[in-house]
Amino acid sequence: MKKIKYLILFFSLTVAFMSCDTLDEEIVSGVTSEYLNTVDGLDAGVNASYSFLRTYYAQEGGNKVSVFGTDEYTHGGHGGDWDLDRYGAGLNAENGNFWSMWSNFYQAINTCNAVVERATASEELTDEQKNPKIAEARFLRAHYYFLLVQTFGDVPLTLEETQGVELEAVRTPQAEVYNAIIADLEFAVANLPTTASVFGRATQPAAKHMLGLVQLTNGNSGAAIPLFKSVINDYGLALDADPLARYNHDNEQHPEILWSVQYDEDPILTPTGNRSHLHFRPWYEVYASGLVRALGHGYGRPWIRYRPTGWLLNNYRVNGSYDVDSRFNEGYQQVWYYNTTGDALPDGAAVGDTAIFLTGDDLTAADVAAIEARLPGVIGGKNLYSWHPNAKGKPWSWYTTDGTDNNSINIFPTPWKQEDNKRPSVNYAEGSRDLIVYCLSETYLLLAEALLNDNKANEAVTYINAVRERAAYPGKESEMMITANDVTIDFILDERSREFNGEQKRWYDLKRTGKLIERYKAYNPEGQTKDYIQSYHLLRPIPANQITRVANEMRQNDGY
Amino acid sequence: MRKLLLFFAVFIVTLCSAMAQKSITGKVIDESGEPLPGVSVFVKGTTTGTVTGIDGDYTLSGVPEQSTLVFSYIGMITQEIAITNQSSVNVTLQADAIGLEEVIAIGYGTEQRGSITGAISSVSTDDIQEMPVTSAGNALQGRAAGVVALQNGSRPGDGVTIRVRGRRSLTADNNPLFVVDGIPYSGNINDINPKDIKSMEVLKDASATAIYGSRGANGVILITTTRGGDMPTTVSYNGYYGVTSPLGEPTMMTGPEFYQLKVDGGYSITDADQNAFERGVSTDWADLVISNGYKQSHQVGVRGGNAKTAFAMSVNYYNEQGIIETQDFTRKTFRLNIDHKISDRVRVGTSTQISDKLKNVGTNGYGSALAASPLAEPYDEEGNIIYQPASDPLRWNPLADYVDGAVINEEDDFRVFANIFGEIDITKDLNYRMNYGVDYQKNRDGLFQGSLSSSRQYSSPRARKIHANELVTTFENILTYVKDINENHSIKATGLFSVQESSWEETRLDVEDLPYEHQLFHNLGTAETVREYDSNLSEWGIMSFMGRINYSLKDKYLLTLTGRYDGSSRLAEGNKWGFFPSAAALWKVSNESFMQNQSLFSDLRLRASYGVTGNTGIDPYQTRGGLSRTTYSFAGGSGFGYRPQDIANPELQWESSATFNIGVDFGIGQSIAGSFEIYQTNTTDLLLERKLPITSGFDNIMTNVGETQNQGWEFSLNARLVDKKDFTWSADLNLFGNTEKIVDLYGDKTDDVGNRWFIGESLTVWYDYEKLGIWQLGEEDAAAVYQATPGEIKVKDVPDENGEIDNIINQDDRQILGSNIPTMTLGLGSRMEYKDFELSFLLFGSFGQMIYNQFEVNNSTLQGRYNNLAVDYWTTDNPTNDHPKADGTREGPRFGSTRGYQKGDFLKVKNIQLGYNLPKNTLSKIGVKAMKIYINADTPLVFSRLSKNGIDPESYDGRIGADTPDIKMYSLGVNIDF
Repeated sequence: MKKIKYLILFFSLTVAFMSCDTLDEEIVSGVTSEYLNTVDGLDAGVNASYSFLRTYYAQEGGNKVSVFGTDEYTHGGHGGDWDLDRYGAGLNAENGNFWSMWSNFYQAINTCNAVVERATASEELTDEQKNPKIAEARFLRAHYYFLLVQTFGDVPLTLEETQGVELEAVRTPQAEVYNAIIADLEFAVANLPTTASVFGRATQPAAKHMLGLVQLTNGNSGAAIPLFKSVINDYGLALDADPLARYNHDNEQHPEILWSVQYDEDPILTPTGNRSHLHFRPWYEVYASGLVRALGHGYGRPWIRYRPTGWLLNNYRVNGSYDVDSRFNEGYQQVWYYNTTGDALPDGAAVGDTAIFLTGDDLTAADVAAIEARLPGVIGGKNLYSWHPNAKGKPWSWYTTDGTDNNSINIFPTPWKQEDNKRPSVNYAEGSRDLIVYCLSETYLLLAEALLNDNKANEAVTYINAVRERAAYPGKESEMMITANDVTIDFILDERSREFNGEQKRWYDLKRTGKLIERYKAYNPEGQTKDYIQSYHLLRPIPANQITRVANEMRQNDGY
Repeated sequence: MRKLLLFFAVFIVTLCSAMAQKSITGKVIDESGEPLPGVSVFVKGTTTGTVTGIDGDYTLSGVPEQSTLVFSYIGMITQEIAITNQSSVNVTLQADAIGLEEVIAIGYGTEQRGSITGAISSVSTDDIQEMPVTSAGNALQGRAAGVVALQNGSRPGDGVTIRVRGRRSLTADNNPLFVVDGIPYSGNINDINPKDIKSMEVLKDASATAIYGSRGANGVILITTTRGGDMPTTVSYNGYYGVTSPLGEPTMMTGPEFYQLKVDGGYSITDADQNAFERGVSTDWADLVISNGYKQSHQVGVRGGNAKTAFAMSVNYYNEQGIIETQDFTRKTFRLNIDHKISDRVRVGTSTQISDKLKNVGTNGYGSALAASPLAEPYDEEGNIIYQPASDPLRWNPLADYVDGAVINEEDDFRVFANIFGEIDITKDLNYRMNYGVDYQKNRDGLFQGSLSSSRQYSSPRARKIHANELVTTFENILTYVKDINENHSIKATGLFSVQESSWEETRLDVEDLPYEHQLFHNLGTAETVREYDSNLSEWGIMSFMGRINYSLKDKYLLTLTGRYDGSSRLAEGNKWGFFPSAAALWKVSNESFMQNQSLFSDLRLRASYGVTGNTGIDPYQTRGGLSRTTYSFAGGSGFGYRPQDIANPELQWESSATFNIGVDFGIGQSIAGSFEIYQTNTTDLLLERKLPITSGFDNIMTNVGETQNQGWEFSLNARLVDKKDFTWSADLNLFGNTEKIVDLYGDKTDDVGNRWFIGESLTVWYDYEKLGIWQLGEEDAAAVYQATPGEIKVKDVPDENGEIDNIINQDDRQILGSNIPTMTLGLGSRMEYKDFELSFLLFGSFGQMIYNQFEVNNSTLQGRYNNLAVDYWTTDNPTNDHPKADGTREGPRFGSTRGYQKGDFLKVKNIQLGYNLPKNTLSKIGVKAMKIYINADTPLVFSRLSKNGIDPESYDGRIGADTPDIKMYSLGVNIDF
């Protein structure tokens, strides 16, 4: 019995010794939610609110929902989701690109909501300290909602941080969503600094530009006009004489840029980079031997996703010529040169000689023969193409006439502004270019659009001409000038394409101006050959993942 | 030497017995007159004893007058002979009805099979040792009713997924608990050398598992390793060497066929393609990356001991070269088990295993080889690798990774699993035992990708190194009280207090731009660019109190009551503790007097049990909610942030499973034994990672909601079909079925389509469109409704609840196509011995499941970009309903996945072995006790619908990826005892 007493004592001691902290759970390497209440935590929350921009801008999915299915670009030979370009059956609620946008943006919004709510509640910070942070979060929240409401129509609107489990969601009428966006942006305009403490953060002119665009989209041009004018006049900004200066990869803080999504060369800061350099690049390397992927301008990695339409290429002609508007010849790669030696080079060719030649010139058979004679290895219809309308039907025609012609599906001019020559190696995918969301020339063109809507074409023309004047080759300015009579919504859309094509604006521009279906059918080869697009396509499908997860009934958009 | 040791052992035994009085000799034989070596002979009530020699002879000195000798041997009925004045005792032992007296582990103790109240399957030494199994998990396959053990893949070192009686949990862990020599063993039982295993017991019902309380819901697998004993020292060598080869090879398109596919699909044909086609190029890439591999195992073991100290030690070397050249696996294990008696009342001992595994994961060139264009050529005229085979520059040469040093991807795991125990008999009836176990694991993953590897494709070299280590300590105190109160009543009580704690740390660094390649991942500081760096800590603890009482009335009625009270750090404050009780009863019908007059049943027992067990198989910190880090930059400066990612759930508690089990065990005559069980398990408060509407900003939350149910039956039969002097034949059959069902999810009996969870269905189902065929010529108008054209896949437009068809194929047209869980599983093992020859085989089959043939879907994109399986695809001249038309404009056909759902039934000849035992007379002359040589065929035959491309249909989740080719093996082995 005595032994048992010892044993009990031993047990009790062991229990006492072991049980102190075995069941306590202390988080060491992680961070709990309370951190966001601190001053540093709020800054971290603001930064996190920006991070979701990288899930959409300059990513394949983001491009697919904004670049495909427009007059500017159609699909290249590789990649999937062509139904987004065709408005085909695969453009449905199960399409992952819409889910990606939807799911990331709502996580972003909850992050913004957390910042707004916790900063507001913070007792550590004064209003002067907290309001700029709140303004940044509200600027971003407005941006995410603005994209959502344009894409999906009525969307659930939440302006408070989610606490606990929420199983229901209700689609809020668009008008209310717009009211919330406008309220956010008015707060942002009032509280953001005129210039950013660090480039890339939201500023007052960027907020005014966005608010103007929101008003314009919402049919309130009158409210938009003073906002745009303020951006142009009140912040010491001016258009650069060079229309492409803002795309200089070595100067990404160009004053014309109002707000851009930031990418960087350091993989720690940019684990997923700007990938547009892949998507807009044609499959040049198979069109001539002696030509390979390499570091250096023009020889990047090709993913062949987005191909310019013939309309886009011809849209730069002024009086039939490419020698007036500098934005095409300076802005597009149309020629590739041999870049390897050895057996692969055609007889008579040397490194640096032309290997692929794409042109808008109206070539005769004699012209083609002359070029072939002059350039070893270059053959009409093999690596020499013309997109001049007269080329149609000729062997060297670049055109796709029925959407299945393979002549141009994998080879096309590509905009230099998408190229990324700073990548460390040939196949490195994570580009470091910033994606410009708002810039000053857009303010000019949006102002012109608002003025036109307000029946002020006379005033509008000056802003359009300001953008066109600087785009002209020296001495060709007068040819670029237009008059008030030329100002139509179609002209403004043409001009916007010359200025911003492929920058994830087009689908929304066409929708805003009511021109999506008309121009898509007129200019996109898929639209020209198929009649899939319907009026319901002006709204995208609510992702099936949302509808199946929500406990209440959630209405799908018509047609899906 | 051997004789010397034997002499020594006997000498010690002799010394120990104080009152030596006389010496007895004799011979032990079996019913057929064969001498029985290794029979234990001892004086009842003493430690005096010996074992019989090769000829069945024994000599035992120091036998007191008026004592009793006990003769015991596995598989034989124990005999007791009273000694009066004889000096020679010869004994003939009778075979036991199979299994009844076998002692098996039951968790915190042992029990004779005949007195087990719960549902326990046991895998014997023979079953484990007989086949050249590569891991402990392998040894379970087809051997135990209710246990599914399926290979995860064919890469060297790949593990096995083990499920006991199906799955209960939708998102928490479904892995059983492994307990090795009494100590919970976390993670991969691949570390355990199967040659060291003496037996494995699978505890299945709640009565058996309730002593593991919160961790028992998914079944418990007890692994007992080989120990020494009071016996002559035996030195043994076991080894085998086997050649592995692919089960079969897929039929891919040849160069001309692939060219035709491009033509049919309108995929652009480059100059290089055209040129290669004209030259008749047709490269069989799969053939280039696959070669024969091998497996080998070598083990030296020493076992022995005396009356005070017993030991078993072994070293094992296992090595496997995959059939993909860059993949191999090496495991070295060392084991030392010691038991020592300090005095009659105090014992100590250890079980210690050290293992070192090196797995070269390599790269898997198989997938890219299958995808590579047959129009591309691997080597130039000088035999150098063409890195970008000209046909498609986007495709890198899969052989680039086979160049020495191009890619290193190795996982090095070192583990010490050691426990020491001390045991004291406090009184005659009361025993106290303490176990202290340390499980230390160190893992190092190193990755190097050279500039010319397929992952880098001329980019700068990349290297990554991950270091992790985990320390788990277990401290257990066990009290056992055994009392035969009188003839009618006996009691066995066990009490336990146990604490287990785990701490896991990880550091990782991922870099690129290394200045030189030969450093691999051993000089990361020279890198110019850092891709990722991170470190992490995760800790958990479990504390438990357990009590168990076994009560036996007249050795006819047995009752077991168990209760365990467990606390887990992973659960929320206030919900950390859970109580898990169980009760079980056993009625030994055959011990009743009314059974004595019948001769059909030599053994008949009825069992019933009910109990509750738990599951805490979630990651730590889930109750707390948390932020996750985000990455952004501003003007080249950092823009890291934190965002809400996980919702805190302060309510999180145990998931619990209540199991009701009825079993009958029977023996017919001396040569047939079997059992039949039925059970039902209801699991409630599921630890469920519930998907949330993302509009709340959160993707999911871990909650306790929902209910699942498992029902099943198990039948096993062991038979000695023939038991003659020169010929024996035995067979073991197990057959079982388990049905899982989701009973409820969120309390309203509604499906969760987002998660693919459906009330009344199994935990996972295939949910997709149903393929009806291919749109044919003449169906243009009907197809156009769905924007389809002839040659595309036709799927079913499912009518809505009003029976109307909406002419749109969308998410409403998805259907439950089938379950990936088999309705019946079969294991059939058989062993024949004829004179010195042995022949054994094992069949394994699985029936009723639907699989998803991802291999066929992924390798039949019909785009013309990647090579394709040579499938029957649609053209205007070939109106098949099998595969759709080639389409160069799509990365894969619309609704392409619908081609993958197929019946998955299979029957495998898992193993056939022919062995020869060399005659003992000859062997003894060269000092060898026993020697067996054998040839073995591993998976020589598989019967299934998938066999045409060499695909193994075995896969736990029913998804047949076949990303490494499946293999078979022919081997030669030898077992020698010195």
